[in-house]
Amino acid sequence: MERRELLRRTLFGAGTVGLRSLATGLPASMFLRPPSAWAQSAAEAKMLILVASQAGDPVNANCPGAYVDGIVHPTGEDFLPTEIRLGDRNHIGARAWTQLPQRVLDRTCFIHHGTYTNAHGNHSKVMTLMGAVRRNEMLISAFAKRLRPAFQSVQTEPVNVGAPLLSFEGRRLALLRPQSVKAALASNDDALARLQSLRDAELDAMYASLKVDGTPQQIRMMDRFAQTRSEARNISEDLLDRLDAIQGNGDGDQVRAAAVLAAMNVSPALALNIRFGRDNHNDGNLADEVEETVAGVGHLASLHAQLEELGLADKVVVATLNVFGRTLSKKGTQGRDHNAHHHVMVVSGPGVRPGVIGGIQPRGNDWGSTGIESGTGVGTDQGDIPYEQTLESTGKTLGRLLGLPEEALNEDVDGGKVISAALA
Amino acid sequence: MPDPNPEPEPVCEALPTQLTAASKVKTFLTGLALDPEEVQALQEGADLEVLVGQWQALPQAEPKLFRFLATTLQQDEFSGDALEDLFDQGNFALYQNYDEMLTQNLQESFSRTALLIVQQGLPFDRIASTQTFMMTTAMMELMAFWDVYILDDAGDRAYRGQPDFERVVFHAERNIPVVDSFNPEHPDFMNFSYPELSQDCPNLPSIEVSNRNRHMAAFRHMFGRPNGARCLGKNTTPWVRPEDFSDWRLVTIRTPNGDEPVDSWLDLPSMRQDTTLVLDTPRVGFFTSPSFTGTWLTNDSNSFRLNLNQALIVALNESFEEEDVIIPAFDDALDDAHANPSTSCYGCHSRLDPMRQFFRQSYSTFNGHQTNPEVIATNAEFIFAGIRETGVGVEDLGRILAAHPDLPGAWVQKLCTHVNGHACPTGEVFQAVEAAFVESGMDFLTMQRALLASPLVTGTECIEGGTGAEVGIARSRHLCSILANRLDFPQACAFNGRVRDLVPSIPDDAFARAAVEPVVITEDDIFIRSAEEKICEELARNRIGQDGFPINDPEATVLRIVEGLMGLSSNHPQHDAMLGHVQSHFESAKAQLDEANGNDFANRRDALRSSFILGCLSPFVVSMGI
Repeated sequence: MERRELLRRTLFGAGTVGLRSLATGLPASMFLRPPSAWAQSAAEAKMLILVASQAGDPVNANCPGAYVDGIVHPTGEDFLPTEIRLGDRNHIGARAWTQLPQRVLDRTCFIHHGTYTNAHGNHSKVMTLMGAVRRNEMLISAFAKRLRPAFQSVQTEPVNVGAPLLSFEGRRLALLRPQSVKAALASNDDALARLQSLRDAELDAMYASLKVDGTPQQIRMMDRFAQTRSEARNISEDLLDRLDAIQGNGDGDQVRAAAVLAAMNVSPALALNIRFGRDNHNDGNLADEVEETVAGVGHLASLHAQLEELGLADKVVVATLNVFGRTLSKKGTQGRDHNAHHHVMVVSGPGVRPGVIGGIQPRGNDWGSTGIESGTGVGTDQGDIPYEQTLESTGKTLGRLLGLPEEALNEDVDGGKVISAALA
Repeated sequence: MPDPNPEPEPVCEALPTQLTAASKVKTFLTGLALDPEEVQALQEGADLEVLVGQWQALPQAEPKLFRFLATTLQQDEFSGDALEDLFDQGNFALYQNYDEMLTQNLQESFSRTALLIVQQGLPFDRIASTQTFMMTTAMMELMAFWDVYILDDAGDRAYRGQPDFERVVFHAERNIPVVDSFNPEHPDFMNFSYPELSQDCPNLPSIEVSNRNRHMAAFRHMFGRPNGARCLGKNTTPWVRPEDFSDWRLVTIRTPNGDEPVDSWLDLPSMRQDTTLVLDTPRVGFFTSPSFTGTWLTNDSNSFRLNLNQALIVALNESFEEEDVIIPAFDDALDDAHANPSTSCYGCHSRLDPMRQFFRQSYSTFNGHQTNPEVIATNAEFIFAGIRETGVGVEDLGRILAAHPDLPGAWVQKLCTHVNGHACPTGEVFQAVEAAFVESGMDFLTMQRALLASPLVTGTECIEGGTGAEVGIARSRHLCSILANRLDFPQACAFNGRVRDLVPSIPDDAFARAAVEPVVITEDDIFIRSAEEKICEELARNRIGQDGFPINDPEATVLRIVEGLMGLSSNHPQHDAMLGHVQSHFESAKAQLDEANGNDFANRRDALRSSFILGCLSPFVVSMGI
């Protein structure tokens, strides 16, 4: 059955299922099979949109929790120390962060921690929590595997519209530029589209012929071809129309693509890249940091707004993870170097208790993260999470926010513990 | 990143036929399918290595080899933005598309050089040590200007060209021959006319540029874009001609002997004739090319550590590991911040810093010629993978890399990874290929023949650590060569905007910062699949009705789809079965369309287009190894 025909039938022949499907963007099959589609309960399982970068952006330099004496911030109104209400407390951060609406801030937490490396080349390792995720899987991919049964998304592998160097079970994930996503998924309605079913059937027959004498690897590849084709046929058409707004491959277009792909339920985990100042060693007057931080927070706000429009505000957790943070005071306003000891994950979404977790303290000739008291979120070296476990703990906390049970997280990640203070 | 602890794979459960293996190899090399004679020869036990030698000589093999070299030497991601950074310019716009042409020259230069090294059978290790490069006149001009227009370690700009000039004057009224404008002996030296600008902007006054931008203004004027012109968006007539961007030739860049002057960028007519460029700034091998330098832009923090590590990755397939610590013979090149052995940085920096000194002795951190005697006097030492040697500047680094014993094996592995999609086992077969490479005097084509005919690639024999023949999707460069060469349609992946938007969804091989393994995608997903389908649809609309795919002769068109596009010659064991599938689909499709309307021609055309898509999506086109 053609996709359009299927949609017509579900729209007009099966009650409101099709309408609900179109409204939410989730494949109609999910609503027809709610028990299996939401096996782990939609209230618990959340999709992940990970904003990842290997540039080591200075997110850590201006967010709530980073405005203490001795830390250098850019000048200008957007970086004036500003009270930002996170739950029942105000925290000082750059005014730029107030671009996030209060309803988003009310479910946003800034977790200060270390990534233990100052090398760009360790981006892939940071994505595995520096090797703490079992079998050296990347965190996003380990979570995707856990979440897929709950969402029954069309594929388990994360979809990456702009983040660098992601892998799944050791395989590099293809980078899907937003403009290419738009071009690839656009639908036709002509004679060739009407012959699609016939072609698919003949192709399956072709595969069957070839499998007779095929090697296991050849057979596996042909099975994969059939599977991906089937997945491609199952995407809701009205969401494809939303891709029309994509004009390029920039941060804003990645945000748009990620939101739509989340609504398509293509994967339980998506990744993109939003710039917050990048690798700004020689950023005189921190000009790039100013420009990109303001724009970056704006893109985060836009992402949340689009998720709300798509009815996904309570289904998606958005988090940032960079290879490292940047130095906070060393070079003044002449740019920032790599900081292995301080990074901030900004995590927003349902189930997040708003606030600032962890803290910073002088370290060497700059600043680094403290340990964390998991119950209160206070930054202290006397807490139950030492500095050396803050990255693993941040990863596990993100997993818990996605609805994964602690036992599963302990199976997937060595060390660290869930920071309960970050959970609503 | 590959899983370092993979589950044990089932080893060699079933092996592919020699025909399948040969088909994979020919497709990899050329995009073409086996012809009937080759099918027959293989069925009669032909030597694959001999066939590989024949395929290497086909014209279709050259662009594929070029692409492999460009990616593996990390030369193909250079962009115009990097050109602006290298020259500290906010804008490097030149006449019409001259800036794009110049960027392309810079991007292609070393890949063309490496291609020539391979084609001429020169020792492949020259990729690290050569000082002779494929260049155009336009690129030579840029290199000569770069040599005298330098940024020092502090980022301060200096001009040391002879003669220097205090001002550049653009005259709105005078007509000055450009040859006089660039002639230091002429009274109109650095006086330019742009009457064509005054036509566009009638009230344009003469402009004098006497600040620090005057040198760049003059250089850009040679390329038709005077800096500081107030007639925005307009160009003057450039002295550099379009053919100056296409006159590729081998040019040796060498430093002056004694008091010998450097070649002047002002003398364009001589530059057009030159095959030697005398410059103070040394250029050696792949790792000092403008493309490599612009891709891995250093800064005063990483101070060429990045470039050094990427050079090691390209030459030796190895990168620094933090755990691997050697104490250098001297520590004056070690950054103070990392000189304390108690810090976590020490292990890596203690070796990186003396090694990056080879770059520092030759270049400032802003990629200008290094003139600071203190920096030049600071010792450089190569300490990596069992080799320890001192030297001076990038020339010695190139020499050391070229002679490094790990280089031959590294390039066997690079090629094998490129073919199979992941690193190959380095057992006896691998070592035999490496030995053949060394014994041939580092002849790349000899190594390529030995590798492609070996079980490492064919999978036709079970070898230690092997898993049989690797199967993967046809990555972008392979898919496009398959479509272009089998359809005899060079623009197959670029003939309209829609196809150009779709192609990036098909992954291509790439490199990444600090990563030894290239980025290679071997499995498809819904986006790759969707993009392939859309590309095939576009091609079907374009090709059906053209030569070889007549609408009025469905039988011939179906046969062309099977034998041409799918690449199954009449004597191929799969030919008849696949012909049956495509024929069957054509008949079913035609019948379905006929039921809906009576337009026989349109229905035949659409049924043939659908048959074309079927063939285009078959494993013989979208995968390699089936």
